Amino acid sequence: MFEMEERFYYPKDFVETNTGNKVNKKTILCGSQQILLSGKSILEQDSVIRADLAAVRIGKFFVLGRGAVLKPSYKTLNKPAVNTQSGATGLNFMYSSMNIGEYVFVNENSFVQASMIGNHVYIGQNCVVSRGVIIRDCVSIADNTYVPPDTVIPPFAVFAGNIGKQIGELPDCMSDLMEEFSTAYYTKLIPIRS
Amino acid sequence: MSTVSSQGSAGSRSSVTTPAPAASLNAPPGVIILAKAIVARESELQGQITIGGGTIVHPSARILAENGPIVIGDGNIIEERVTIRNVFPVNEDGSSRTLYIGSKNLFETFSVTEGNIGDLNTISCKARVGKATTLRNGCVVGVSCAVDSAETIPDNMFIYRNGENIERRTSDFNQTPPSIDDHLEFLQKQLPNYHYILKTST
Repeated sequence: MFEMEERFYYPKDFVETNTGNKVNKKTILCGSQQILLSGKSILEQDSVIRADLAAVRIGKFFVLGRGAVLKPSYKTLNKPAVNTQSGATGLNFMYSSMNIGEYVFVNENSFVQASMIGNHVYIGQNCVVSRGVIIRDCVSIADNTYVPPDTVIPPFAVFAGNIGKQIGELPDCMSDLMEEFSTAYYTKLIPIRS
Repeated sequence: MSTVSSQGSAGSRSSVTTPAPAASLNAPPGVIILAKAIVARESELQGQITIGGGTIVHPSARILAENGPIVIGDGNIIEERVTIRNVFPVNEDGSSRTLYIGSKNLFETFSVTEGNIGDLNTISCKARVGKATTLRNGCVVGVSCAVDSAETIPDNMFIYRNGENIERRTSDFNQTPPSIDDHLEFLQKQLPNYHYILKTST
């Protein structure tokens, strides 16, 4: 695998937490009580996480690229609007929490509204992952892909196109590749010490 | 230099500061926000804008009245990173055209709208409606479809992308955004708990 170039940042532009998360100060994090970052994650400039709508749980070595948007998915329910037992009026509508595994990379300007993402997943630039999508482990989604609502992407699939379809399979070493890639991305982001 | 112990037990428990719920702030001058509209502080508003009752403007949405005023109707949902711009050419006598947006439209993330819009439309992610186009009611502009022709798109038109081509078909029933009333009600309850809400400056 190629050697990743080192990238430098000013320490004043990033917030670094005890668990090693590097969060750019120009991100928009809504509902920060409900965001769980497991550690060593990077949130780049202008990225958005909408945890005010539902909880967002993210594994370690997560990267959210510049301008990417992470939003919990919503679903409409087919239950009667009025509960006959309690008499309470419930909405036929709810946001569900979002679970993201380890070593997930979301590239620039992508919009991810998936309900579940497994481990070792790569999502390219300008992708749209619609609501209710379930992405299993070791998946690669090419640039400019549109994944329609409620799609289930099987393990080791390569997804591409608008409308997105499976175009191939990944080798068994995808988990090792993603671990190497995400770890390198994290360690090559170096603060400038004056 | 104040130490942590001087802040008391409540202050040292949580290091993350969150906005106080249901606080309200003044919108920039020229922006009129009607009752029950929820406009998050992190949104970008510029120029003469009227936002109708019950409309939700998510954080990081951009509404830019560059060449003339923008009037947005009731009950629209404007998601994050949406751009709504008035870039109509200015008339010969110097007067400007107004960009009208109807009621109960859903503008999804990353969409760009520069033309007049009717009611109950869905502008999907990364879609673009150009300044020459007018949308009637109940239309759907699919994901990453750009419409920029000088025409009025009739009711219930479904614009979608098939590979490289952008295709159209009309449907017999209304393509209303999915359960938009419940969606609006949920957001009107939820967003004031987490965001500073803008109010018209008086």
